[in-house]
Amino acid sequence: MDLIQGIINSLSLSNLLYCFIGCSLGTLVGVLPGLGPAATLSILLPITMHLDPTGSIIMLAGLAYGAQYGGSTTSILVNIPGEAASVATCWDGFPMTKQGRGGEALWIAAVGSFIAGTLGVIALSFIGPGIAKHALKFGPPEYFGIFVLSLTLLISLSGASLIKGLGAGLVGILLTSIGVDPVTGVTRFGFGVTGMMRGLDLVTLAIGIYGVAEILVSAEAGIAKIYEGKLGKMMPRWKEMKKGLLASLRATGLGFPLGLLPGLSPIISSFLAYDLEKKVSKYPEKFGTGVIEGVAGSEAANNATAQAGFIPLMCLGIPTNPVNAIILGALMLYGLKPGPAFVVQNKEFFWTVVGSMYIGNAMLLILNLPLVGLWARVSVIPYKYLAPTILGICVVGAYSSRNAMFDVWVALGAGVVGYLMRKKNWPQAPLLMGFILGDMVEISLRQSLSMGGPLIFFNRPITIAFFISAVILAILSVKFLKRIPKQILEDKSDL
Amino acid sequence: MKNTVLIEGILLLVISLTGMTEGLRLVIYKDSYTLYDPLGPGLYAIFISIGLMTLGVVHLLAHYRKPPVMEMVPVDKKMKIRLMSTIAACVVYVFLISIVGYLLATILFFFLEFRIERVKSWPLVVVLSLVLSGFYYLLFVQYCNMVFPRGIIFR
Repeated sequence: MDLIQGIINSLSLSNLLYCFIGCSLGTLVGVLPGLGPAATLSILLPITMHLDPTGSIIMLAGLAYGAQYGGSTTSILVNIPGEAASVATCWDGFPMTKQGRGGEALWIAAVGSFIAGTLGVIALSFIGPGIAKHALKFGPPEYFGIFVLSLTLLISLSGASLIKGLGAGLVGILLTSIGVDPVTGVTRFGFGVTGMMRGLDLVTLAIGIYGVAEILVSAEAGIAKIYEGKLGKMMPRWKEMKKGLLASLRATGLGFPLGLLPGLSPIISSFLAYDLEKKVSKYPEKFGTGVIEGVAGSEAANNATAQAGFIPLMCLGIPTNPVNAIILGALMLYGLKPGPAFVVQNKEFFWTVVGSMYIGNAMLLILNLPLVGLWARVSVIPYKYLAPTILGICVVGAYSSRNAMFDVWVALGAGVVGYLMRKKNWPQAPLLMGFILGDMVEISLRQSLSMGGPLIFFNRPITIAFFISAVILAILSVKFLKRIPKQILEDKSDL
Repeated sequence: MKNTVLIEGILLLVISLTGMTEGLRLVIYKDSYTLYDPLGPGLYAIFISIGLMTLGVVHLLAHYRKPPVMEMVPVDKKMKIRLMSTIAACVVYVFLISIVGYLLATILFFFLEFRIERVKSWPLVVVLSLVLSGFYYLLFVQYCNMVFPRGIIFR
């Protein structure tokens, strides 16, 4: 009943509009190489502060899962992954375009994404509220366990170097402690500067580390090339379609459970799905030359993982990837605290957002199939027009969250730091992840210790379960990272 | 490459030492509330700093003698100038907002940025700068009621 009410709520004109804007923007940033969903979410975050919370989260979520759809377009047509999770799509998608089968590749990518996305939302509708029933069993030690589990994400976000990833994560955690101490009210790292005493702002840091840094990297690298290929026919033949659809289902089965775990981001699941398709195929040697299962598998897996990520985000407060971390930040800015009690306390909000995801996935199918030619043309907008426009929004965004010029300077500084990190292969995502989680880790740790000292963690079964899961996940993350080519990890440190 | 690793390692150590110093300051000057808070604001910062310091040392030891091989993409000198100009334009822009106010500073910033990004046609640069600045002003200042500094000149 709640789900039906949620779908009805999400069909209101304003929510439909927010969903459409989010999905269109998501497809757009997926299509535009160089502008990822994390950067766009960071830039949009302050603007959404002026909208109502439900509409904003519908829009931001639409943008997050829409980017997974859009990312395939440039991967298939111009061999440039629109975002990191679409790298594996290039391997067979672009060869298909060169064979004049670009349309078929785009069709299976969109349909595969739709299948994965829709199955993901169905699972979210049924699994999510079940977790919420255990809400009352959660106190500070359990929350600390959850945050420790979330911190394992730092490993998979580390890219090629674990030391760099963990270092960036710890710097992020240390940056959170700037300003007023949440427990005693003492000022830390103030250095007599008023802005520092207020602490750093999440929006400001995100805009700098992603938005401004992205523009600086693009300014140095030049402009993306122009698409000139032919799409060919869209609908594959039945034999090919069957292969693609089966691959999509297999990839959904693989990608969805991986999305529930922190640290296993869409890029990892897309590689694993590609690997799986190669293993179950009768012709593994043909992979990389334009095999439809390669495109379907990687695209469906990254969508399933992205969609599944909303379950731990909404029901446990665990962000499983940088995009979800920013959505978590947005929810917190609205005074909503995702966690086990979230679904019960914010029933209408939760089900409306879930309802909008059903509609969003259907919208994305329409946006990505008939309008694919339009998106292909959008990918040729020269960066020389986009860069100043985005920088202008970054400045407004950094200023708007607290109306302070200090924040604009911080965003600018963070932009230069983000640029240097990209240049020197330091992953940016762990820094932001550490910053988002740092505050919550500190509060839950100190509250737990004041409740019963360090031994309290060993008297709570749920906490112990989270600690054990964290260790297992850390080992799995390291193992899975080894299966991704090092070159890609270095190029795409923002997993 | 060795220099890069050295600078990165030193930076991690400097950040961790700063954290440690601040943590020690807060441990010594404990206030009465921290009686019920065994970790306190100081010890927490110290623990994080120790972790960071360890990583800094490991980074130096692991990579200084044998730096990781990184594929360096050669950067055109013109592109480097473009990058530096973009940063400079941003710095000037943020300064100007406090002096001449948001609208005028934004017009000047867009004008500079489009030129830096090599939009060659002067009339197009002027039109784009005016239209975009006007749009931002209407959207953010008029519609979203954001209050930007009015600037020293127009006070």
